[in-house]
Amino acid sequence: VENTIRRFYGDDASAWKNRCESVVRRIVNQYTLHPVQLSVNAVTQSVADKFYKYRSRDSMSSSTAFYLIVTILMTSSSQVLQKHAANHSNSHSSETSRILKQPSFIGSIVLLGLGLCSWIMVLKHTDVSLAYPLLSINFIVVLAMSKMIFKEKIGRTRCLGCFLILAGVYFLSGAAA
Amino acid sequence: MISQATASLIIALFGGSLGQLLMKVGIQNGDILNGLLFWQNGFNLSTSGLLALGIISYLVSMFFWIHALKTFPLSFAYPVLALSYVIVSIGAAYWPGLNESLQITKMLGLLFIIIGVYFCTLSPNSKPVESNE
Repeated sequence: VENTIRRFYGDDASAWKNRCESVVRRIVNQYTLHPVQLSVNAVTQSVADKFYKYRSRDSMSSSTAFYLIVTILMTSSSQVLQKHAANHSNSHSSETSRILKQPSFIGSIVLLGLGLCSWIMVLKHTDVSLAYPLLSINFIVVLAMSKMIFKEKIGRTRCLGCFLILAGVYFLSGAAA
Repeated sequence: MISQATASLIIALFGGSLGQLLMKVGIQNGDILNGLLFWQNGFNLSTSGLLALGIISYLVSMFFWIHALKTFPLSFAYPVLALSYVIVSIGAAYWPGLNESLQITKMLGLLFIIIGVYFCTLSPNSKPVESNE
C-alpha cells in the first residue's frame, strides 16, 4: 500500500499516510463499542439489509403467504386456547391466577411466541403496510373458530361488525391511500 | 352499574393500548440499546422506565383479558379488542411527545372500526354467559 501511495503522491507520501492513520484512529475511537453492542448492531444491520433488499417486491411470494397463514392460525388458536383456559376454571372460583398455571394457557403463550417468529419471517420479505392489514383476518378466523369449537351463536350483525372492523383496519393502515 | 366482567374487558382494552403508547414513547426517547441494555448504560427513566411500564401494562392487560374471557364469549370479546386501534391512534395524535397525524383516511378507518364494534355489541349473545361447557 505504501508503494502505491508513494507512486501517486511522491514526496507527500508520509504526510498522506499520517493523515490516513489519524482519520482511522478517530473513527475507531468514536465507534469503539462494547462487544454486546457490536453484535446487536451487526444483527440489526443484517436484518435491515435483508428488509431493504426485498422491499421493492410488490406481490407476496408463496412462502411469505405461507408464513402469513401460519401466523394467523397461530395467533388465533392462541386466543382459542386462552378462552379454553378461562372456561375451565369457570366452575371452580373467580381467581384468575389459577388460570395462568393451566397447560392450555401456557400453550397459548408458546403459540404466541411461535406466531411472532413466523410474523418476523413475513416482515422479512414484504412491506409492513401490506402485511399488517392482512393480519386482521384474525377477526374472521377467531369468529369461525369460536363458532366451531365453543359453539357460540354468531348473528348476522356480528359478522357484519367484524367485516366493518376489517375495512376499518384497511383504511387505518393507509393501504387504501 | 357495569359488571365485573365488563370492567375487566375495559381495563384489558385500555391497558393494552396504554402499553403500546408507553413503549412507543419510551423507544422514541432513546434507542433500543439504551432502553433494553439498562444494566450497561444506566437506568434511564425516560427510556427504560417507560418501556418497563409499557410491558407491565401489557401483562396486567393480559391478566384482565383472561378474567373477561371467563364470562364473555370469545366471538364478542375479541372484536371489542379492535377498539384499541382507535385508542392508540387518538392517543398517538394527542400524546405530548408523539404528535402523529390523523388524516381523513385514518379517521374513516376509525369510524368503520367503531361502527363494527357497535354492531358486535348489538348481537343477542353479547351478554355474559353463565357457563360454556
